[in-house]
Amino acid sequence: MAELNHGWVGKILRVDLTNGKLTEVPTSNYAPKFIGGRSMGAKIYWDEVPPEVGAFDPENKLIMMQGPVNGTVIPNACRTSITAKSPIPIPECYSYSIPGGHWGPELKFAGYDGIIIEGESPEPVYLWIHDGVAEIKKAGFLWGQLTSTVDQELKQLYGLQTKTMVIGPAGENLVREAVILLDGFAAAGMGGFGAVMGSKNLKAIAVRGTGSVKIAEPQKLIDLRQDWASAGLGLDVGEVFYGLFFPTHLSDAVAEGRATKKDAGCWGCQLNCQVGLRFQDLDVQSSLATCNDISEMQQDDFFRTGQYMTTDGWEFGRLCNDLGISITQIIGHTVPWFVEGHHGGTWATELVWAGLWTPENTGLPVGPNRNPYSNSDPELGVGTKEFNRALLKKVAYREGIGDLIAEGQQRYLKHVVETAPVELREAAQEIYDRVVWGESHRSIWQPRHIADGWVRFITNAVHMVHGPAAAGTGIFSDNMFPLIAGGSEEYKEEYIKQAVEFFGEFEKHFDMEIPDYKAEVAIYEQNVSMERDSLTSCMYGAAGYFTMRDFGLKSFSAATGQSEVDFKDWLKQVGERSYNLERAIMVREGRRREHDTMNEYHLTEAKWPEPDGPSVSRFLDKDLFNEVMDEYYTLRGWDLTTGIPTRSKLEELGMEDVADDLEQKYGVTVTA
Amino acid sequence: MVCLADFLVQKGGSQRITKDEEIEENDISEARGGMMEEEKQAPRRLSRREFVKGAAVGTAGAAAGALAGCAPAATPAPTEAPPTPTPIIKEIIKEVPVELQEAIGHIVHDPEVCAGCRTCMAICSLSHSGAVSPELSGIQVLMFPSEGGVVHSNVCQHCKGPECLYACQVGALYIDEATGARVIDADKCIGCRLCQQACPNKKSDPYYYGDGLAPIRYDAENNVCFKCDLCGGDPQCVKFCPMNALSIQEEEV
Repeated sequence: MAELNHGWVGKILRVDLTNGKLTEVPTSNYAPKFIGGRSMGAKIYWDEVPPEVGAFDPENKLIMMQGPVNGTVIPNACRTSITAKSPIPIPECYSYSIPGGHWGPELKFAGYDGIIIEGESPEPVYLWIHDGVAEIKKAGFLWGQLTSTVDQELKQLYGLQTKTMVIGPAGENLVREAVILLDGFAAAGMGGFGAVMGSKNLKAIAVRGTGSVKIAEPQKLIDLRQDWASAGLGLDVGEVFYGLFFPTHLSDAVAEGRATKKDAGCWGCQLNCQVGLRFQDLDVQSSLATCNDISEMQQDDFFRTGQYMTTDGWEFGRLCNDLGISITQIIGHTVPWFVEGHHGGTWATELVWAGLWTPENTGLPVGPNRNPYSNSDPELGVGTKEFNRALLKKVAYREGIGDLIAEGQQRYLKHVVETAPVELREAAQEIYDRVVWGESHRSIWQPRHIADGWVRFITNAVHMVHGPAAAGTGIFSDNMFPLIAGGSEEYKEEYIKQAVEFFGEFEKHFDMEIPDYKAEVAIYEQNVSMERDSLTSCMYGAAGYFTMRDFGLKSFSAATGQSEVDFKDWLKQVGERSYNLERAIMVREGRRREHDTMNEYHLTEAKWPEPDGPSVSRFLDKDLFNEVMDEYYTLRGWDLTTGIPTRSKLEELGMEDVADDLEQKYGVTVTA
Repeated sequence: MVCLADFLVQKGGSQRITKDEEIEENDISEARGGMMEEEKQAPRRLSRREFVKGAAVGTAGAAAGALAGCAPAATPAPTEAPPTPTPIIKEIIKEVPVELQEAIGHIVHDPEVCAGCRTCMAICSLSHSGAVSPELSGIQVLMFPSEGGVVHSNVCQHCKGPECLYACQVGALYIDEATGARVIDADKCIGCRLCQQACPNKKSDPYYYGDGLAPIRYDAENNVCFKCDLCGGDPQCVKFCPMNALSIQEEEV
């Protein structure tokens, strides 16, 4: 196969930590059939991680992949797709997380399209990769340190321009919801990959590259960037990002002059959606915060004080980063509103109300009071500053009750049910049923209020922990962004016009009472998200592509010099093929149609009683649900009863070998 | 921000001096007087340039020839005595032009506005070399997440007295007629990196890997140096900056 040296840099580094062996794999082994990023990660995962491997086994692999436009002038082409078996869901399964920052491009400048990390080091180590040279180094002096400390240590050692990928104590202690932190602020938050890295005794990966990414048609790529910058979103950065995520009073510290606020961004970004705060007070850590970070901090704050973004909230976010733990998992799902408990509280409050959590048995400052209307009741304890910090530290260091919670929400609540006193067992079971949506591969988020969003969520490969607006989650939607988040009127009009051209009667998509244009839009969005995650560019940046649907195709062609194909063919080759491969992986790991569902109450109870809430408050009609799902499997070319891709579909996508393997190796019945 | 077009109009009619003209036309004694102090502090300017320039001066005229006699000219004028091998600073300095054409401006970076996305670096390297490489960008930006997004940057100031140009031994550095930018001719450059060392603006730091934030970059693959050339008057970094943190400004810093 021809050498791929434009767009791609041509080599993938393979690190065997067990033997300390470093080898190089040509990217052309996988590309251009699987162009990069998430799709190449899926391909390598399919080839190398069999279903019986556990998340913490040495045989599990951390596959970090960049795509062909990553590290170029294409806006937001910065993300790193990390693929591995995730320790979070029951059973452990395939997952990916696609963080931004500057680490991914740096790896390409250092000469690699990706890294495959396998095995398990006998002692703590870190990787130092610089200009085509990789070294495994002893990390005894870094082990146990906070992520910010390790980040600084490595930058002192190898230069301030070094980019780092670090795990915190949570990752070392195999907390199942641990994250990998890039450059101290951008987290690979999904999948619990920090724990996978910790299980391999790999503390950090430092990268510095002075090389280049060669481009086949430089001027064409620059023109594309110009088109995007001028046509683009049609909306103001501040309007969308700061309006949506960051309330105006960003921080009490900024208002009082104790800190300076600054915009910051990932590599080549047009939007620059991060916020940096620099505190004069050295006791408070200065850092950048991403939107998810901030939205969770807001919750930490808001429930306590009714104010957004206080210094306390900021410090709490930094503590999560330092410990290398997912702020969304621990706080987003434990404390505030995201996870609906039986009485409208969170599972933590429910446990307190039910009498299952007491100060004695948890060692946490939880109160005896029962207040079903407020999570911030100081006597209740849950959601207070003291509670949040105490819980976080206990979990990260696996102390006391934290050791159990560190096993993850599902496993912990299962434990609660099993160990509850007889008189409380029923209450515990109720909480479990309500909060844990089945022991399957299901998403935690189930946005029934987004027209096609719920279809994408429940069929998605990943155990979703983030909301629908989080980029790099594989479910970020083109259509929700301008229409929910805002944008100029002309822009919305143009978007609708193009959508109608593409789909037909697209207006019906927004009518939640009818099944029209739900499944096909969901499939389109899934394929597009696969395309963006494989390229790898940011889905926020991709928001600007609404009115430039073939932007990904054009930028791919300009960067790599590969010939431009018809857009629908392109979407099939890049999006649909890899999406089907992901489905085959899931099928191999036990996923079937019955797992693609929601909890019963989503189909029977309205979430918000008032009709004109921020999101449409409604429940999904069960018949509608089934009708849409039938259409989904039919359009996907998957078996209607099992949800397994059919042989004809896999062959159409050039993956006969996958169909054969499913049947012969994994004993799955693949229909014709 | 000053309009670029205004600069072009203003500067369009001004006197432009190419390197060869400078050497022939400038009053040597004046140049010598003006540069005497500085040359003592910077003895590194000698060596090969001395040879080349000495030869040029030697053929320029009788007065120049007499002075150049002290320099080790490679092709001495027929009337001159053979050159002595002793390198003497003064002779080099003599040929340095008194008044160089000033650049239309230089890129100014606002660290308060900059988000550290490095779009400028990607665009600069891509538009100049056909490959994206932050290392080979004329503008260098480095954002520190751990300091709340503080940005450090560096870009060529197109100095009135360009040390890089003085330091170049092979005449690869020249002044672009249209913009007055101090530019490296990649065909002539031998990759010795003396220009990089001579630059007073390199902000070097032992902890930086590679060339740190030096505004003159070294392309190891092709063994040439590279620096900001103001893109012929339409700097791409300014054009593409998503935060409008870059502008082109007249005053020298």
